[in-house]
Amino acid sequence: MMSTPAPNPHYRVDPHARFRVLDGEGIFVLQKAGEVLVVNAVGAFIVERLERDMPLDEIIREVSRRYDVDDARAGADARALIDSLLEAGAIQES
Amino acid sequence: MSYADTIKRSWNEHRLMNALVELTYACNLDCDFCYNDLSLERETMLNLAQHKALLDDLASLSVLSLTLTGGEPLAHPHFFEIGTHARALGFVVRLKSNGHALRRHVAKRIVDEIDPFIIEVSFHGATAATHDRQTRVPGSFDRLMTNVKDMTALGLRVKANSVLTRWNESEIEAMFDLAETLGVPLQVDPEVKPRDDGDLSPLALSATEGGLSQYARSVARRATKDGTTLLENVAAARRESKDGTDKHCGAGSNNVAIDPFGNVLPCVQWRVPIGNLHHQRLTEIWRGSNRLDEIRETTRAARTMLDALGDPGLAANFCPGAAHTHHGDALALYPAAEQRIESARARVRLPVV
Repeated sequence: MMSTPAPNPHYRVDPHARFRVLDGEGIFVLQKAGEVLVVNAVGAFIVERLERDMPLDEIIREVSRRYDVDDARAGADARALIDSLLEAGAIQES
Repeated sequence: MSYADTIKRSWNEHRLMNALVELTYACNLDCDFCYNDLSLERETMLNLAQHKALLDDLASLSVLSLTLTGGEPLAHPHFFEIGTHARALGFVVRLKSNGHALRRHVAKRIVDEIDPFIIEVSFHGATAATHDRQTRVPGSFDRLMTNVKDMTALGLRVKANSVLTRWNESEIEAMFDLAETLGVPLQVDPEVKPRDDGDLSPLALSATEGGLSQYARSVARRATKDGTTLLENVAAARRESKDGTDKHCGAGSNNVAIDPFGNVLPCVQWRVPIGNLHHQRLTEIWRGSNRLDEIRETTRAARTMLDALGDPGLAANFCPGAAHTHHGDALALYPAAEQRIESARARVRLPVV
């Protein structure tokens, strides 16, 4: 059974994944799967903040400010990214 | 943007992505054709603090892939400290080892402390007689087989590398079969290289024409897909990999190598120092070396030269570094590249049935 996510969860890069920002883009190497995942500049911005242990709601506010979008849109996009990164094994809840 | 596009952009914009660090030239085997320039061992090796500073610099440049090699990297007294530091800095670590020291407990420690992406080991034959003849250490084949099995059982990704020689060419099919049985991919370099100091004597071990043909047939049998010939596949893949960049390779553009004595090289094959870590930090060398500009210009010239040859040029597997070692000229065709070009020309002249 899946545990209920914390109301304002923290995430971190999976210990078996590696992440680098190259010229604004984010690159994950998923070591176990032997796959590479590229995320765009907004994705890289979000993952860099996850690495700093920033909680999700704070990240969403920063995305909203930085990219001049409303909080609802920033939140939906950030959560969609996080869901896909969790599914790929690139990040995990910390 | 795809990862392939990212790599091309790193070539074009000189964004360092890959670094190879030769930790030591010490080795527990004694291979006949070892390419290391052992005369350099008179020079001062980098110490642990310098290695850590190098890794810090590479991380600050956003380098993603770090290869630790030698000699035998495990023979370095601070191998685990360096590997652990690399892991902490988030590199994708690749270990290139002869595999002899990778006993189960050592492999387990590597998993726990370094968590490498892959370990590449050296595979010199399908039998103990052939492998041990190359390594000049009796028992090394049996030990490698045990170590590979133990590493894969631990969940490590293992790859076998081999150089085709006249000693192992008759076993090439058996080597592929053995690798398959072990569950590891086998990459064969059909070309024995000169030593890094330019000594051509290892070339005496080069595979014969018959051995090269047998190798080509083995590879073709395993690689043929969708009814296309191997040459078409190779040419198409190489053309695609170079589309969107004007360079032949990433030497000095997204790639750098460092020898145990701090010499910074544009690539492990291209042994022309562009600086030395005893005198400068890597970040300073990377941002300010005039020699790097010359290297990058040479990779553009190599591209122009090979493009003029068409598909056979793509099939040449030309290496400017090997050309420099052979002739002192990174643009001069050397015998193995010339042979591949001729072979490709002969194949494209064959009628398609």
